Amino acid sequence: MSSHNTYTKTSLRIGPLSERDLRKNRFGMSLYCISQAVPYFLLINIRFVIAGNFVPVGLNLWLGGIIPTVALLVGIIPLFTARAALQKDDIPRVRSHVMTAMLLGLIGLLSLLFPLWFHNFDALSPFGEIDLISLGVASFYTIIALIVAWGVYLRLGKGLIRKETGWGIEATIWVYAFNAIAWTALFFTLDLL
Amino acid sequence: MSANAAGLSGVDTANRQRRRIAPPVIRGLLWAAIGFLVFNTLVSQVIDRQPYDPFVTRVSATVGWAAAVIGWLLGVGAWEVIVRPFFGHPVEWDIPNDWRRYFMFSTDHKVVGLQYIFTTTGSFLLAGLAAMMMRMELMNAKLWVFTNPGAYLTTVGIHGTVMMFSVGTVALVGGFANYFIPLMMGSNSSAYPRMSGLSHWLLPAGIATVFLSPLLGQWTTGWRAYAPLSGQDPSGIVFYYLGVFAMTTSSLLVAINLTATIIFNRAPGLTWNRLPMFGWGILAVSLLTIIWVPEIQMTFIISLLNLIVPFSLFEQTGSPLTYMESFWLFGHPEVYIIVVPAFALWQEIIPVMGQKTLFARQWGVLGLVFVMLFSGLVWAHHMFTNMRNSEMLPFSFFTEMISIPTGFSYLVVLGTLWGARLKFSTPTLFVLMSMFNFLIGGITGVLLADPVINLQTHDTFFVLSHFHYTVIGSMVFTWLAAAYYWLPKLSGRMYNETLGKLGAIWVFIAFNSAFGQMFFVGLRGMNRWVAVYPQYLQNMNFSISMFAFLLGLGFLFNFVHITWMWNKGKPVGQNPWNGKTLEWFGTPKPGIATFSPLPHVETGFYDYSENTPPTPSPPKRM
Ligand code: HEM
Ligand SMILES: [Cu+2]
Repeated sequence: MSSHNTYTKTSLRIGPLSERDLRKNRFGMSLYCISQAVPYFLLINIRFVIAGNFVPVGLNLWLGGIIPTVALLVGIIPLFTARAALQKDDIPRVRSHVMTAMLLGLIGLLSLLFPLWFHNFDALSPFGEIDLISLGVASFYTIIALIVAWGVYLRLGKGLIRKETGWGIEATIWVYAFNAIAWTALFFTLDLL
Repeated sequence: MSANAAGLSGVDTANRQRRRIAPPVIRGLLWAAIGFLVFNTLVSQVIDRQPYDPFVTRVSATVGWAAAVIGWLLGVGAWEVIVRPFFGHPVEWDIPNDWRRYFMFSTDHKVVGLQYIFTTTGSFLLAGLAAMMMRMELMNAKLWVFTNPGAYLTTVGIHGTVMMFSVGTVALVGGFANYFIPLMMGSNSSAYPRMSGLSHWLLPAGIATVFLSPLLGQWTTGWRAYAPLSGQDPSGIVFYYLGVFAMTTSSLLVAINLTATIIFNRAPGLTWNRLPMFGWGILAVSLLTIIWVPEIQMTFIISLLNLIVPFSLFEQTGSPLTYMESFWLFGHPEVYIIVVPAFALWQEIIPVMGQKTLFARQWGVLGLVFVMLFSGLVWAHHMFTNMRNSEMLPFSFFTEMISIPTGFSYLVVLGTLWGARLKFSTPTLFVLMSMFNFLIGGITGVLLADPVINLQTHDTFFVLSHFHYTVIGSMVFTWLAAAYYWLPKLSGRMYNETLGKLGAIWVFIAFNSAFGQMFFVGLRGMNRWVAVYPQYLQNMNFSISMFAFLLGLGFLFNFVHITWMWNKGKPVGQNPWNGKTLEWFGTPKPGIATFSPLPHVETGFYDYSENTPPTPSPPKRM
């Protein structure tokens, strides 16, 4: 409050996290996952209320289905290996694994967007709608996950993420894995069950 | 160490200040305008041209709005504080330690709290003005203020939406809790300060969106946006969905931040057994928000897509009832999001004013928690007119059951009042009034939970009055209690006790006269959502309107009084009420650390039975 301190600098810690801060961040991530799981529950519920178990014959199980599911689920693995590489401070390797996850995520995204763009159901049937909305929701969260991974990739390149300051990688795992698992659950309940 | 001692050379700052072309809020507006224009034009003129080539379509407004909100957030400071550091650039964001800090992105929870308090108050006044216009219209049985019923209904919708999502949900949580929860936890910061800084700026964006909705056309659904009705209007409803999305996201971020603050930022010795009641209240509310806000957001996104794609999920070919279910699944917990912090504040203020140990504290906590748990089980009491008789019973039952944990909250306060030498200050008065009003709201609520009564009074002013007793009568009265209670902490100055009491009595009488009569006008057949009504109801409506104007003036009086005393009141010591919760022992000024060193808590905060730290109080005469 003294007169020479007329500005408060907003600081960003990139120092190592204390054990407590680490737990706090993980807790925040779990709250993110809990709250963002709710829309998926709602989608599933609405689908069963409106269209029962009906699955249209023309549904393409590959595009907007199996391909993104596999791509996103497999994409989790290189993130974990990236975290392992970070423990050895092998930054180039961390980067290449994050890049692998991003590429898989991108494949998933394109495969979700393709049927969304060229949808072959009449949107004016309850099933067609829920399918399109689900694809849209999954694309949205995939884009979020990709942005998170991309930021981490760039920060890795600038040497800002090291063994002691590896929260960014873990945050990516949370967001990426949440999206992959939530989408898989949605796909299974809507199209396969 | 104070937070702004962080090494910052004057040259550095000067350079950055020079580079900053405009104050952040102005820059935000500019970027928002550019974002809207560019994306709206792109969609309406290039990607998705419509017959007759309108410049703004439902789709282009939606995309343009998203760009505008992103531009606004980046412009007020998210660009420097969040986006650039995210991609590995250093943070370059210096906050002047004067009034300007309230007009930019800030990570200081005290600044964020005050920003929320200002924004909420502003939106309360605007939405209150809308209420005054509605009451003006209803003074007369014919259309005379508005030129058509749709304009009246649009006003009702804007009033309800802003009051719910920017006042009811926010005033005690985004506002007072952002400011005071970290202090009460004995912490210098909230858990995720950058997220918290972002959360506030979504709120004005949402409020502006809802107020600007008439630009896109009327909407007649009210704050519930029922489909398929929402699909039959002109397009104003699009801005309802978008504005509510911004406001609810703001609340969601606050909830996540405060939950983590309560769990992880407690000072040493502040165990769960010692957690202040307001902490419990905010924890309960945050959990409700974290579960139910995403639920309504998804519902609204589906409804929005219904309109702009278009789909027909909630339309005739789909299932309109599904919309109602999804809305009220959120809608009932929402009313507890509004009122639980008020319950908690009663239990915070009364022990201090009575200087008496909080009675049966554990039951108070249980009450808050069970109200929270039950609130998810009762949604269909809003839909008794839409269901089979056999389905009514469970919802009726659970609704009436909620009065039990609610009763705990009352009994805890009453037990504390019992035999206390109560200091009859303005906050005390407001709390007692709030309890009285909630009693009326609660009793009429139990009546409404009874299908026999509900089917008669559904959609009448009886219901309207019932819920205004809970939102104004309890929440807003407690909001004012908290404002007077914490004013000395916020400003270092004391309000004028006579004017404070005058303000309290003024709004109490005006409120009960206006809304008390609304029960009766409702029973006599006055419907909601009508601008024109049968002549025989005119006299009573005229009288209600007079008291409603008096109420509006009363609120204005209280706000002017508080603002005045904030600047000109008598200076007062750190802890005028002799409270024991930690907020009374820290530095209230934004921009510097509250506690240095961190406090160490050794006893509960509500224990006045003996001379216990942290406040050494004089021995008590029994
Ligand atoms: C300042 C004093 C207030 C007055 C005089 C007032 C008056 C009114 C009136 C006349 C209506 C519309 C009745 C109809 O035609 O259906 C209304 C609706 C409503 N009010 Fe208020 N109100 C006030 C404050 C508040 C506050 C503080 C809240 C919430 C925090 C609130 C929430 C609502 C809601 C949710 C609706 C329903 C809107 C709808 O039907 O969609 N009001 N109010
Ligand atoms: Cu309810």
